[in-house]
Amino acid sequence: MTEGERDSAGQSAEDEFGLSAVRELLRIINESDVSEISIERGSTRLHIKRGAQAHHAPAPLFVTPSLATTVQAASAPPIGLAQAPVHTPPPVTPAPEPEALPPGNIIAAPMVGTFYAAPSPKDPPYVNEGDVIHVGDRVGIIEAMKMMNEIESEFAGRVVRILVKNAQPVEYGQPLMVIEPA
Amino acid sequence: MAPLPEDLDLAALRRRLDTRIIGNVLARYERVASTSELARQQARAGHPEGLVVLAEEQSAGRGRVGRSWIAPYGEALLLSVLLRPTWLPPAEAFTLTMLAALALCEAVERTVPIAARLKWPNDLLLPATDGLRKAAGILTELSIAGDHIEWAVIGIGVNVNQAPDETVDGRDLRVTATSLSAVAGRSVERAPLLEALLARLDERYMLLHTGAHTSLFAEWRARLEWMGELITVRLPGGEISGIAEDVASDGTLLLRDTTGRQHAIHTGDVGF
Repeated sequence: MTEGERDSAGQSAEDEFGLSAVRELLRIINESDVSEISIERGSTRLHIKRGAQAHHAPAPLFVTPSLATTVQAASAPPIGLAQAPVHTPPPVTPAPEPEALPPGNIIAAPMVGTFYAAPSPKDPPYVNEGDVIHVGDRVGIIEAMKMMNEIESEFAGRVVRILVKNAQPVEYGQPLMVIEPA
Repeated sequence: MAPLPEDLDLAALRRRLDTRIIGNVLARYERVASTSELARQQARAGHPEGLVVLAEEQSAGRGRVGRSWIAPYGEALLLSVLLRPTWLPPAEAFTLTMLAALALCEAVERTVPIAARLKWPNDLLLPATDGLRKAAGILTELSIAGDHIEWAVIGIGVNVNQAPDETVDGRDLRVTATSLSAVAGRSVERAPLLEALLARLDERYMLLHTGAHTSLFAEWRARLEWMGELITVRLPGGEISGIAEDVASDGTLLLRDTTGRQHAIHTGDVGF
């Protein structure tokens, strides 16, 4: 399919690129407007650039011959590429419920910061009380030190109580919302 | 459509780049909604850390609280970096803000011979004729899963060759913003800046991984402007003025107001 795929498959039993990774990458490239992409895995390099005559219509993708995969001599030290972490589902351990809260699962603040109920002041809140949400739905943002942490629900169900106001400071572990299982 | 500017040669950059993690995948776009949005999609799809997404122009570049970040085609350096610091406790996520800010200062200083300063917590300040002005901004997006950071996308926008002369979201950039070229008095090449930035980010990231928190904090603190001075901070719920006394070890800004009360601020914009 591409030189990069063939080369990396042929060069080492270890297959540093991983065929599935390359396929995935090419899929991403084909489905997006990326103009140029350059990859390094171990001692293998791959460079792909779209034709110079870029148009709004998807341009054909090709491997520039002079920039095609080059395999370096193994003079470079092994590159400490971190592995993609194994995606284990987050542990579902509801925080202990204070007595005043209605029964349900609690979404708690994962860090200290300022809670925002919406992506910007112009936007409606992510969720309102009474909404039914799914696992992974965005329910708010916490900002601290110019870091925005999007809060996603670990639970599915109905938002029975929102315990924080927009732009309110929150502490680590502070309950933000109560979700009643559907 | 404008051609892809040739000053950034990714193949040449790849040959020179000697980083261990940052930039193992470099993806360059002409126009995107937001480089961070693309990097975030890749993060969710399980892409390994080190991915760098570059764009010549963003139609929906974002700053804090949904603010726009405007840059003309090819004149700024717009990138987002995907990291997976799963070894960093979420309570120490603020160190990512410090490392990005320091790496940016160092990269800029290697490109133009001008001392870079920081406006708390991570806006890059350069000396214009009438004082310090903002030349770059950083916004980090985090995903925390349970007790660890799943991924972080560090979005960086540097005004390289443009002359910020617009009003965006009611803020007049002519009085608050500058660019590297405006300060240096000449046009500035983006390629060496990008290379230095990726190299410094990589170096700082590796250092953080080995536990170099103390030096990171000390160097970040030493770069902060207006410490000990009277400043105004726009908070989510209003404004507060006082003396910027110091920063705490978690990066919060310690401000003493006129009544003598000290505030620990983790969210806000320090005014000019």
